[in-house]
Amino acid sequence: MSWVHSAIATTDRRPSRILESCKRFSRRLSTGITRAVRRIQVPDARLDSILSKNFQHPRSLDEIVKCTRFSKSEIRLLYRSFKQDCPGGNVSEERLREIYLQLFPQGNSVKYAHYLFSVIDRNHRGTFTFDDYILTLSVLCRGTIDEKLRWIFRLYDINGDGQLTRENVTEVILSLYDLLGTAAQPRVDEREILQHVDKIFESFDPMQTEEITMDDFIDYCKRVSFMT
Amino acid sequence: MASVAAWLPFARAAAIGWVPLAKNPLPPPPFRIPTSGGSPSSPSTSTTSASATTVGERRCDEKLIINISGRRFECWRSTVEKYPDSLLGSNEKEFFYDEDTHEYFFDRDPDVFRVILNFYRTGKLHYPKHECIAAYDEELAFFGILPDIIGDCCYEDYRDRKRENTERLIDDRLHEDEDKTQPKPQSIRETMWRAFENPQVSTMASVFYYVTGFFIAVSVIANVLDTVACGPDPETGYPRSCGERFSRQFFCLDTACVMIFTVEYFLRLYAAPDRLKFVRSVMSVIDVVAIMPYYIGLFMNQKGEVSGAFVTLRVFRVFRIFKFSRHSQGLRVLGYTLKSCASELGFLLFSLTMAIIIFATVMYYAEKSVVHTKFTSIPAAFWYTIVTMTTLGYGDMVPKTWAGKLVGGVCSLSGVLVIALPVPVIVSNFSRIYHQSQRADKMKAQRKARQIRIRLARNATSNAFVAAKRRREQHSDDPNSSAEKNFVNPFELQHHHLLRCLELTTDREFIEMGPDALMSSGAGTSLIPGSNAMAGLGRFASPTSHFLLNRRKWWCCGPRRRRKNSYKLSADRANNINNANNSGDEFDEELVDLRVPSSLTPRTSLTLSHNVTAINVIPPPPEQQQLLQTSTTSITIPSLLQHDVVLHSNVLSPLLSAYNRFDLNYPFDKGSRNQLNRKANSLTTVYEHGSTNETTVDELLLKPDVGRVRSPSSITDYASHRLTNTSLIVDAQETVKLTKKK
Repeated sequence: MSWVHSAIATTDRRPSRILESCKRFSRRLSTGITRAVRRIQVPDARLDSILSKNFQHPRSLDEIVKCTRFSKSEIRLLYRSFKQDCPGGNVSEERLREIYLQLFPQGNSVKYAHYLFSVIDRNHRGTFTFDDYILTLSVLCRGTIDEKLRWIFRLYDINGDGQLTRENVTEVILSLYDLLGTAAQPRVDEREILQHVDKIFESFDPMQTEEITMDDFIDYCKRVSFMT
Repeated sequence: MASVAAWLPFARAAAIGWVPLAKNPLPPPPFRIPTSGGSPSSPSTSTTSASATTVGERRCDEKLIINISGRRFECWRSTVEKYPDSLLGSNEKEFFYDEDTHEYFFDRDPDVFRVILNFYRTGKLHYPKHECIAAYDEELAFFGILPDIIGDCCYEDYRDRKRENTERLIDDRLHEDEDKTQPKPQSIRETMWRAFENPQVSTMASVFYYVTGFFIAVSVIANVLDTVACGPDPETGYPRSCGERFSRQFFCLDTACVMIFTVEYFLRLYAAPDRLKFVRSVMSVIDVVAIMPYYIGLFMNQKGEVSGAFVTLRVFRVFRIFKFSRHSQGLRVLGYTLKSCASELGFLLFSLTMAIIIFATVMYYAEKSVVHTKFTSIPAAFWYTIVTMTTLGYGDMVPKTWAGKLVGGVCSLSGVLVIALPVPVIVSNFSRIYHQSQRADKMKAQRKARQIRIRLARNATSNAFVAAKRRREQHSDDPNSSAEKNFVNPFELQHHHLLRCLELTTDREFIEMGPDALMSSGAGTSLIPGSNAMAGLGRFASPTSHFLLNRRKWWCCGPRRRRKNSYKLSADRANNINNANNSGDEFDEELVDLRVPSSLTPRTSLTLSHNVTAINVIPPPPEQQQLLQTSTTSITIPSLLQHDVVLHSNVLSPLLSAYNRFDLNYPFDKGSRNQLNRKANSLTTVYEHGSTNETTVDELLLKPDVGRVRSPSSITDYASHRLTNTSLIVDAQETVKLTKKK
């Protein structure tokens, strides 16, 4: 379009407003045609918008130090390894599943990763960030017995109704056996798994109520002194 | 495996959730940090001093040192703070601050970082052409920079390569989805759909495929032969076509073909998972167009022949040939190419139309004066222009005046140019798509071999884990190997501990898969060559193989991406067993101190030193010690005894496994302890040679009565031996159950 501009420029200087509007119009026309011809592909733009949503920044170091029981240097170390693995800052359930698959190569980590993911991702956003990760670690490693037992209860309570039923415990135990996979001796037997479930559940629930609340669970574990 | 090492402490922390469910008490973690020098006051002062320095560093004109894997970059603080949404510009970089050296350390690629830092300096992000697009994207994602802002100079290149890469990935993923073993289809409908889409699935499907192909061909040939001249008409004497002579036969043939096409269409419609989508798809439209004329013809025959419309309908019968595109991949590639080159083709059409109109107009006015000219109107001149521009030159219309001839000459020259221009674009598109489809075919052919290799690698990894674990357990008892403890790989230790926890939770034990399991497609039983093995295994193979087969279908996705890592890992382990330093480059050494005591421990070193004291543990041992006092969760003995330990590739591991169970109360045979030690030593040599399968098979054949659980050593001897190695002793009763050092 340059020859147009030069042609316009060399002619009359007085009607500068007309000149400006001509230039603007020609520019707009040319960009419009270029865009129509080039047909900018939408999927790439969508990919980038997804990418921008996925960049997650954690809260600042000081805030995290206040919320958890780790020191700054520990948090730094943890963050470094977290960021190395997951630069976008969002960990999906798929990624957790892959990780457990690598840790337990002969096993099937789908169920266990799903249960673990639901207990970490409290707000059900579909991914968890470094904040969730460090809060979980703080509870699990530096938390009081109560906090740990609460976490474990939430892990077992798959459907989130606040009560632990036989089905929940069965599901969790099944997921553990899945994790074991096929490379284990002696061979896994359905009957044995059910026996395991029965034994565990009966010991949790001596009064045969078939539903265990969080307080019952905590009392039981403390009584049996799992983790004093 | 480096990324998994980052998650290992987390996985071990989460393993607390197994404690209430465990059948056996869980072992304590590998080792504790000595609490020397870990007084609470000093780390806090160090943190406050660090915070003081960070506060002090907030001055804007301060220089930052950024250390990227050893290469130091320096810049002003204000430079990086230009873009506060990125990692370097925000508080996030504080997580990477190294207080000892007062610099920010990132363990990333320094070459790409140079480009990124230039972006901060100049405001323009460039894309280095020699970099792989995926690596570059990863680095950008790490530093929180969107690829959108790549400057104009490098944008086109980036976009093209990105598009190519995404297409290839999508292709690969599509084919990977096909590779995955599909679950058994739920219903007849699903079976049928899969048979239609993929004729290689079963013989019925391929039969159907070929039959329909045959009938399409027959129908098309019949259409063609319908019009061939077949001899003179006896009544009128004019030549008539075969269609008229054998009209009944052709009609029967046509009816049969249309019957088959109709049935096929309705079957596909029934089997389609999304019927609406199927009806809208191109292939189904072609099917409908292929059979509709027949039915319309039937109805119209009843009303009486309307010859014009009828003839048109017959023309549509030729669309049956497009049904071949289901059968031919080349046709589909061609169609896809044309679709993807739509913009270029549109441009070609547009410019041709413009040129035709221009030249036809000029030609008409040039030839208007000639008497009896063929150029009667501008549209009439269109035909001349098209024929000339495409260099056909039929010669039915030629200009007579000199002006017309001049215009005609210019027309043919420009025709050559205009048509030649978009052709290279179309050709390059076609070649790209063609190469992609060739690659897809090649991958399909290698699919089976690849699956076997994946399974092999996976089994090798797990075998390597188990072998290394046992070796570690066995080495830790051998007093001669104390020197090697300094070379212990912390990642391995932690991982083995995690595996051990799972073993004890479920009261099982990991074994290595024998060679046959590696090659078998899905059974997964560890069958071993050798008659004795088979005898022992016979009982277990049949009832559980069914169970295992069902298990196999739950294999997770992502075997391909893991393949590289696991291969490398297993190769390293097999080759350099005693040299743990070798695997240091794979593992991320940054494990964290996660202990209950509030005393903060010295920071782990950032370098890849295998210093044993730097390694830390997770869930605090006292919990697990108390766990052991419960009798309710320790079942152990009856269940152990009722399972004979099945033979597998490592013949000596039954003995070792008993040796390593520290929670056994049943009587031990003192006499076999020496036997065990001897065998343990020979096992060491087995592992040192790297290959387990050949030697152990030989040993298996030499020892025919191996296969029962034999607990070799007395518990007290065992415990006293372990006492010196562990630091978690509570009292003598519990040492029996919990002393275990990794």
